[in-house]
Amino acid sequence: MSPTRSLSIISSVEFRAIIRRRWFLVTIAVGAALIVTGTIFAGGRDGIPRFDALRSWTLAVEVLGGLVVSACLGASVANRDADGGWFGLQVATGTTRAVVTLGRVLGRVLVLVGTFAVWMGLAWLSGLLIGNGSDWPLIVTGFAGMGNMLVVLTVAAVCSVALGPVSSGVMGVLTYIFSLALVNMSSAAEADVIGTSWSGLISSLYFIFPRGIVSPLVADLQARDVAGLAAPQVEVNGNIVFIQPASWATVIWTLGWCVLLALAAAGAMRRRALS
Amino acid sequence: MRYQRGGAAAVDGVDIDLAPGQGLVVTGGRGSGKSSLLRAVMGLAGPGGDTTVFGARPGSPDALRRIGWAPQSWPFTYGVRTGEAIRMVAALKGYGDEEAARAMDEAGFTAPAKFAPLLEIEEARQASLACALIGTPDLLVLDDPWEFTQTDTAIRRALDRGAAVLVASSDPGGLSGMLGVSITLKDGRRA
Repeated sequence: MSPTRSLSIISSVEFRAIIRRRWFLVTIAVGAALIVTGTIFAGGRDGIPRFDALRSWTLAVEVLGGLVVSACLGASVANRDADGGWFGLQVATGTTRAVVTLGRVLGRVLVLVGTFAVWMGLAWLSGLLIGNGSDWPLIVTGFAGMGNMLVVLTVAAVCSVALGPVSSGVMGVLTYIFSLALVNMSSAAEADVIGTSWSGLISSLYFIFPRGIVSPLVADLQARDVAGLAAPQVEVNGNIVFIQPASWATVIWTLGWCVLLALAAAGAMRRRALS
Repeated sequence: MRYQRGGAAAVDGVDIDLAPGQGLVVTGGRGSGKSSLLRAVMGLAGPGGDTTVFGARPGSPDALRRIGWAPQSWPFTYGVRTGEAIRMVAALKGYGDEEAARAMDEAGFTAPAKFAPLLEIEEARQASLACALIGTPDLLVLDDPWEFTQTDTAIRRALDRGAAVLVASSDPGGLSGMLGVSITLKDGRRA
């Protein structure tokens, strides 16, 4: 049995198992309901405010709903199934622990991608319905959000090897906040609104750790302070900081971190006791 | 064999030498180390000592492919139909759906469409046994199997074709006679 085939079998079983779970169905449905509500709200407006309204509602769903989904997905890579016998049943077939772990991560990544596809597709249709046309910047923002949530998922996955589900999920969310804070503070440093002693530290951290992926649309909404709760305007030392959209280098760097974290989870599972 | 998790050793100084066509039942009370012993043989929990299974370290993929594993109680996950789980085990071992169906039939399992949490306890034991019967394993490792007619038949067939059978059970009933040799554990050691 080739590792690729085993990876495919495990990821497809995990994908099917998760998309049938109640918490997942409820989360995806609540997200969809909020986008529909945002569409109704936006439909009562004209011009730029109509675009902004649908975009900020969609952004809120993608950030808050995305955090819930990705944290729960990552936290369950090892938790419960490693002690409940399911992970052990997969390993007992002669599939290496690394492949089982990567298959479980891959299945969850596919669920995350599917979740965003549903929400992004609904937002796109909503835009067409109220006359916004094909809102490609919003689609790009969805992909950026998906990248950020991959970080949450993979961090929670690594943590799930040693920590409980809640702690693992919290670690994933904290990493997301940290990665966005790095981007915000890096932009603040570039704008010379923080002290030079801090700038060096922030630059170092920025170049090492995963960075939040900010789409051009989110940067614009933040600058105009219309992005809503999911992406509030950044103010440092009384100065409004204009966040720079992520470059391709940042996207590749952050996705590279996700791959590294998934491999770390696979490595960490080598010594984890299973039932 | 020695297996330690946390402070105290769950299994310590237990010697097993199981040859082809031989059976062994491990008995003992709750917490005596029976399941830990089987998990150590499967490499699910790292054993100490000089344990080898088919000449390799426990848990090596080559050794595991030759073992049929029936875990204790309810080894499935939420959102999976039991038939899907058994077909997954078959696929990962390189077999098709027909082999999964045959194993389910041999184990007497008749509820593949049921989601795992909805299984009756008897059905869960049969589903677990079906996972172990996929292919022609050289070693059957059954953790607390219930003594169904199908369990007895599966064990007899395995022994007849020269496979070894290792069973852990707190209440082995007729399994002791069928398997020939039994050892009793207490606090992780042979009583």
